Amino acid sequence: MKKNLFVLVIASMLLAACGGTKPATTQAKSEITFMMWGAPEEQTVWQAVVDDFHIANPNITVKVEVSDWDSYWTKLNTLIAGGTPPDVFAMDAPLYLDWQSRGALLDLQPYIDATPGFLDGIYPQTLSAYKVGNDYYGLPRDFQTIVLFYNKGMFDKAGVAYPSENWTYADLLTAAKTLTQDTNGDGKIEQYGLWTDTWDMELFWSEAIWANGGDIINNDHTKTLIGEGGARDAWSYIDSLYKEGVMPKPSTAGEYGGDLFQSGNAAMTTIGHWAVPGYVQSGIKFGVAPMPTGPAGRATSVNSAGFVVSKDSKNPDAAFEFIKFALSITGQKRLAELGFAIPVLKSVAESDSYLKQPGDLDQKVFLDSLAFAHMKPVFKGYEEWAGVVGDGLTPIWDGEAELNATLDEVIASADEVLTKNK
Amino acid sequence: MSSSTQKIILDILSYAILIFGAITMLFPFLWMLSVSFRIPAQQYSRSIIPDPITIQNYIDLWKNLPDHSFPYLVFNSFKISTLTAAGQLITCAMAAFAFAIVNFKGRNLLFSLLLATMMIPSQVSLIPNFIIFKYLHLIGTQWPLILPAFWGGAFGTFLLRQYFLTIPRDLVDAARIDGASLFGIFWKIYLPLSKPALAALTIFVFKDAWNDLLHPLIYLPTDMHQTTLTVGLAFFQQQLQMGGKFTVLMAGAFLSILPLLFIFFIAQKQFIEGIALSGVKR
Repeated sequence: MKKNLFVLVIASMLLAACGGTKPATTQAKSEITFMMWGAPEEQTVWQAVVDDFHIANPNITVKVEVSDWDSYWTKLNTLIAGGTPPDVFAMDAPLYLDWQSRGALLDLQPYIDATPGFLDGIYPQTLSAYKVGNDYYGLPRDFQTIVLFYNKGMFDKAGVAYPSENWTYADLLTAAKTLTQDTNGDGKIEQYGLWTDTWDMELFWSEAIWANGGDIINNDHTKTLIGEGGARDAWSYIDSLYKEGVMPKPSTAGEYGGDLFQSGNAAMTTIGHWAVPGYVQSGIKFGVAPMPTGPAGRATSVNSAGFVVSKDSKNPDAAFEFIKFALSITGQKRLAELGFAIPVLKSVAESDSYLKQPGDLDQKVFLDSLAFAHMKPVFKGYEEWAGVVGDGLTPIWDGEAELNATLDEVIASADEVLTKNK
Repeated sequence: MSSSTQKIILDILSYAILIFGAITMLFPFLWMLSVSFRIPAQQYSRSIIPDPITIQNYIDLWKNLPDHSFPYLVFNSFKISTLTAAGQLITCAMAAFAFAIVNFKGRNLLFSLLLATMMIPSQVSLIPNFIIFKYLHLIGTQWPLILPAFWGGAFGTFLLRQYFLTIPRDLVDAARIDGASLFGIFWKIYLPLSKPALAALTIFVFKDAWNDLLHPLIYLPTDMHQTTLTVGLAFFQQQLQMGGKFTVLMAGAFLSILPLLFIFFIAQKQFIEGIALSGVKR
């Protein structure tokens, strides 16, 4: 991580050093590079999207480069610092503003203005993260809402009714208590009621805070709000999940080597659509339900991955053509078939391409969650802030620190990060 | 208590400590081997012996990597690591010989400068190097990974120089009297006598090149036919984060350490032979 940070610093210095862009437009044959993170299956699908694109645009050749998440950012930073950036590259919404503020991204607004109606079919909730002032420096390609997954076999065996839309957080705790079992009687728990990640906000704690009427951060990103109003109730709820033993402590969860829901050691989890292919592959029978309601109603989190164009791209026109194609019905349909994420194009997400995927999973739950979804906060210094909060709170969940005092300390350090990044 | 019983107790004790250490070191490898032969449903199982034993993971590894690219990945890694090791052995040995044996003006200053380069973390020179190779139009080829090995290296030069210094100077004088040239002394006396150090350097350099993820990642296209095993496996790991099979990844990890083990065993033999052959009384 240190290494990455270092490259990032160098990258930003070099970026600052080389300012101006050379406008270069060619109508002749042009080649662009598209870089993204992803798994081998995603490479196959994106290659298919690119092949379709080549047929529609014989003058543009797109080279696809796919790396794993960690390698992707390392490579991207070096390529940009070295002055050979990819033309189009994938962007994670929470990191977007950091990149945008460093001046690495091309303003796409002139292109969008020249393409009337281009953004009309896209879910507005997913677009908002990419808007800076009046301009877009990037566009979403797919989104993820968080829902409640449950293991049908474990619920049937324990005689607990499946989670419904009327579930409250209290119902979740009650069911989780019944489902937490020492199945072979050796004094150790084999089956937890719930397992989720409480380091990052996306999977559980932001949802709980919003459902309790609290918030994460104020509008101008100067103050951390996770200790105010209903947020404290959310934290003590999470604390009770750990204290009651229905959710394994972070240190215990590590022993299971990752996803306890997938390994069959947890009856419920809260996660996004990206987990579905893996869960299907491991053969568990599962269903999905919307997140439970809290005192302030129901809430979930929405996050998206998107495209950006490098400011130094030699073929910005071709780069935008490619983005346009990826956000078209053809491109979005391919994405839906992949099964990892939800297309941002409304007409595709609400069509059979997405809703009628193989298996009996209720895909609509993910879509309907948009109605009460909050955008995962995007702000400058996000990565450092998330680290301070995530690392700071973990001792509480491991039972080594007291909730309220620790929370106060963490909030103070988190606010320092915000001040630094103003 | 007699001294012989004391010795036996001491032996038992030291063996116990060594065996414990060996098990601790070997266990992760054993676990990797075990997981690679399990069915995916048992990937988290805590028993070390897989039941049933399957080779499906190795077949899946072959099939799941895009374009059946596993042999390409291995070949690329092997090619780059071998050439890197060769380059380092040649240039470091020659530089070390000059620093150890030949008297020339500014030798100590040059040597300190060389050592000073070890203080610079490789991340600092990463981007300047990248820019140099960009101007040489070598980005996207394997040359940026191989060429630097032929430009010498501080660590290898230091290691070999220290070893050369332990070889008695008398041998040089004797060879001189017999009319040997400087290169003859290097080639016929110093290199054969330094087999253990050369073997050690080979292991170090080959291992570093084989395990290197950062440089192949940056310089090579992510095309599975041109990149190395480390990049391929890292890419494969992404599948795991998206809910792929741990068992297949472990199969890949196990295959990836086999060549290293192989190199180590060959070099180890040289290592012992080198000590046996040098035959110089100190």
